[in-house]
Amino acid sequence: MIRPLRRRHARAMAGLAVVLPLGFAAALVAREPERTTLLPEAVAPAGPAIEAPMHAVDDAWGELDLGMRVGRTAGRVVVELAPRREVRRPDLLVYWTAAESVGDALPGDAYLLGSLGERARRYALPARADGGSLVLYGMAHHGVVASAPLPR
Amino acid sequence: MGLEYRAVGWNRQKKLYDLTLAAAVAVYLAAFVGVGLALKPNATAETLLIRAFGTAAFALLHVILSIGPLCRLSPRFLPLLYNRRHLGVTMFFLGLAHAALSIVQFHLFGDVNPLVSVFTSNAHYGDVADFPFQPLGLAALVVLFLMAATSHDFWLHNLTAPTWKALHMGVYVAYGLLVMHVALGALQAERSPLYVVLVGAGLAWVLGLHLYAAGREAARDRAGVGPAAGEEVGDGFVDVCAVDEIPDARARVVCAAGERVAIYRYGGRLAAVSSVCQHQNGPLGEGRVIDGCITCPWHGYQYVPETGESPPPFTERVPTFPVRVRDGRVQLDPRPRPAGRPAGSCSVKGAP
Ligand code: HEM
Ligand code: FES
Repeated sequence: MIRPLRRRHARAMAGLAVVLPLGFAAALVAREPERTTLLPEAVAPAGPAIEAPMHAVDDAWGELDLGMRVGRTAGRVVVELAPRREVRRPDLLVYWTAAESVGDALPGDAYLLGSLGERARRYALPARADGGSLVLYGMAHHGVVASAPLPR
Repeated sequence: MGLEYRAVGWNRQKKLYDLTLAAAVAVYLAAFVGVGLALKPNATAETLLIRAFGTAAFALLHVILSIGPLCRLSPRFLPLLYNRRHLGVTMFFLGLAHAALSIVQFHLFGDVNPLVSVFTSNAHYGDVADFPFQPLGLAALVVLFLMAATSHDFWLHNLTAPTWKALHMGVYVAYGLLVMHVALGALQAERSPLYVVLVGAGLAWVLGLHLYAAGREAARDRAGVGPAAGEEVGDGFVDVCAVDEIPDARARVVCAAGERVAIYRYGGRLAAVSSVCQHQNGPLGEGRVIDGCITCPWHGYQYVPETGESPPPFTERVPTFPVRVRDGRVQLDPRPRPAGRPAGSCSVKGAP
């Protein structure tokens, strides 16, 4: 190593030693507070309230790990779907159908209730609804992702 | 082109070095993907590979940047330096794999040219937390590419040493860009303090090590020649040290006339040459005499002590300096001899 080169290396490093800790610290300070995707207990679910709870089903949705509560409000059936884990699919729509079991295609009578949220949401079923199934439909792949029968 | 092309010498040490390196990289990548799958079963293979390649390249860059100063601090690390450029090229390919997969994953399926998309998909250039960190990675990759592409000695000769060295100082630029690529990218998304601690510790290590080694080198340069710091003893010679302070087959390095000179003792004789190896400016004075030749500790270039010339067929040459012995003390004339009139050697007994 020759002397001017040694000095050049030392200066380059001294420069980095000033710039990088500052940049690193600025990046850390600027970090946004962690976003929680799951519902904090205190936040009320969106949608109509459930005045008369009827059922709570924990395992109706298999891998999707959605808690489901069913009840009545003003004579209508209201269903609450509450993700217990992060929902990784942004494209899921919730339908109701009178059918008791559902294949890959959406039944002809399917009635759109809304989209599945990353927080708990409540959906009011159509007035005629009694029993039947809830269906989660994936827009991206145009297919039924899961379904669960509703208690009568 | 008037340049002679010399094939890379593949010796046992180089092969062993490369095998160890390849094995370490393979083990790291496999372990990263394996542990990643175990901890996060939902992660896709692409994501795990992107992260495995990215972290492997970044970790290897830390190793590469540590070798230089570590070798200044202790000769035990010299075996790492021997083939450092293979580490650099490997690191480039790991970074390339990470970048290529990232571009496929995040930019290929849009309607914008993927390379343009790296710069335009996120336009928050004024925002720290949401800063487009990917162009920083791409800029680093370009620098690493230029260095990897010119890493062969052929380019060292072709570009001339000063240009080549300036180009390879780019590693500091690349390192700075990558620290910010990670701090503004992965560290914004991953919240675990573990990642912050890892990146921060790596940064403190690299900066601390370099500044410490640089400080020691600067102190050595300032110290000058011998105990009497270059006291003139007549005829332009300066006092260096007692003959017995130089072990056989080794050198005493002194700073004279602004540069380092190595005074070698071998088989009862003394000879002084510039301590700057002609290959890549390695510290010639930290080598030893092997088979009658001064041998550079970095890549083993050899020079005949009396003439400063590499034995044929090689043509490298380092400047030589006159030495003599008076009353058991070594004295050096810090004016280099002109080429073609080498300084020769003298007996440790004081006779010519
Ligand atoms: C065109 C060039 C590059 C692009 C587009 C790019 C893109 C990315 C992206 C999108 C991430 C976040 C990945 C995730 O969160 O899963 C990332 C992280 C990272 N990158 Fe790069 N990168 C580039 C070049 C490089 C290079 C050259 C290196 C190192 C030599 C590097 C090292 C890293 C590291 C260590 C991380 C953090 C670990 C990780 O999340 O993968 N990147 N990069
Ligand atoms: S610097 Fe490479 S052999 Fe001396």
